[in-house]
Amino acid sequence: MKGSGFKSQIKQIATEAKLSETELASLHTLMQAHSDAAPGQQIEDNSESEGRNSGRKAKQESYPLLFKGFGLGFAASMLFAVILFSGSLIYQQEDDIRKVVSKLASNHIKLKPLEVTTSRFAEIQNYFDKLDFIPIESSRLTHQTRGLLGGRYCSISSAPAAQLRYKSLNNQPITVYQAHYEEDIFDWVPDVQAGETPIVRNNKGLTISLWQEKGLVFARVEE
Amino acid sequence: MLNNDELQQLFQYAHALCDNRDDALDMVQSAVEKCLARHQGVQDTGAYLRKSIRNIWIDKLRKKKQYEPIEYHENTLDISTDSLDNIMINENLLGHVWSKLRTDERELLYMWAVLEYSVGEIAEKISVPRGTLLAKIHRMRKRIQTSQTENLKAG
Repeated sequence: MKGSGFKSQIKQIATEAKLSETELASLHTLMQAHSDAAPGQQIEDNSESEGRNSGRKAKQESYPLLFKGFGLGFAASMLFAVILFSGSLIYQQEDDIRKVVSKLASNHIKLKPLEVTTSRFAEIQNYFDKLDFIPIESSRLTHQTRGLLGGRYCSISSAPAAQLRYKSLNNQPITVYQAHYEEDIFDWVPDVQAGETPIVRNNKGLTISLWQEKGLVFARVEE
Repeated sequence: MLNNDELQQLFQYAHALCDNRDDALDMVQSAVEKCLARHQGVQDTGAYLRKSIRNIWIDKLRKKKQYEPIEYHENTLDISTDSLDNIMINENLLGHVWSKLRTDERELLYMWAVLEYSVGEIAEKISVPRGTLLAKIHRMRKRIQTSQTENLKAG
């Protein structure tokens, strides 16, 4: 049991853990989803660079205005600054959405084990007692699924959240996330009770909808 | 894209660090995502992914306030590069000892036994001074020997 004996013992114990077929398949799906998403990202990058070019062009065209008079030049500069500022806000918001949507899609693909398995919503509400809100059934989900499967704790943009899994009408998993609405994190999420339309994005071959309702932020991820 | 063997090996490395299936799978998924998001510029994918997994695990430990930075020991005694080869342990006891080892100790043993790196290579891969690593091996040896002795007394 000397020398290479210890090495082979360690090798044996360190390679005992194995990914199951399902886990391997889930990792391959994740990799495939990323490779499918890459061309889309390139298109976005191109459009962004086009945007930058057109911005540069606009700036060049505004030069003559500055020479026509201080007032006109100042007004043009202010207008340009406002457009630039609004543009950066919109870009920032879209960037926030893209990050959240990508994370939600990845989590859906992983299909992590459920911590509570139940079809009864009351049991879900009892289980999630460490959140600072009580999970509710969204009006946008009723009659659109075959039923609840269970849930687990998770987070959206660092806000503690409940992750609930449903079975869709065509037997595919639907993941629904719920988090307490915090204005400094979720001010960009539309309020459906105020008549706003949910944000809908596609990422990694999935459709992700985001909205707020009754003081909670909801995200629904499905194929 | 990684094949099944590469994924298994990454999972085993992550498992050696955290000794927990769910955490290991989670870390592999996060590292793979991070690597794919980079699109290009990753030359040695395996090394990059192991480093990512290691960083993710350290972050997790930091969040749980369980991370102990590795201290530097310049003057270490009774150590040599073949210290690991000379360890003797009862096979049944090893399983018990393995789970009791620190994260960095399991990582060291994994890199030595599975990836077959030398102590010098391990020091370079995990960016730890060679002296620190040798001191770690020394302490680990002593602990394994103590466990062995205690087991013999109890048995």
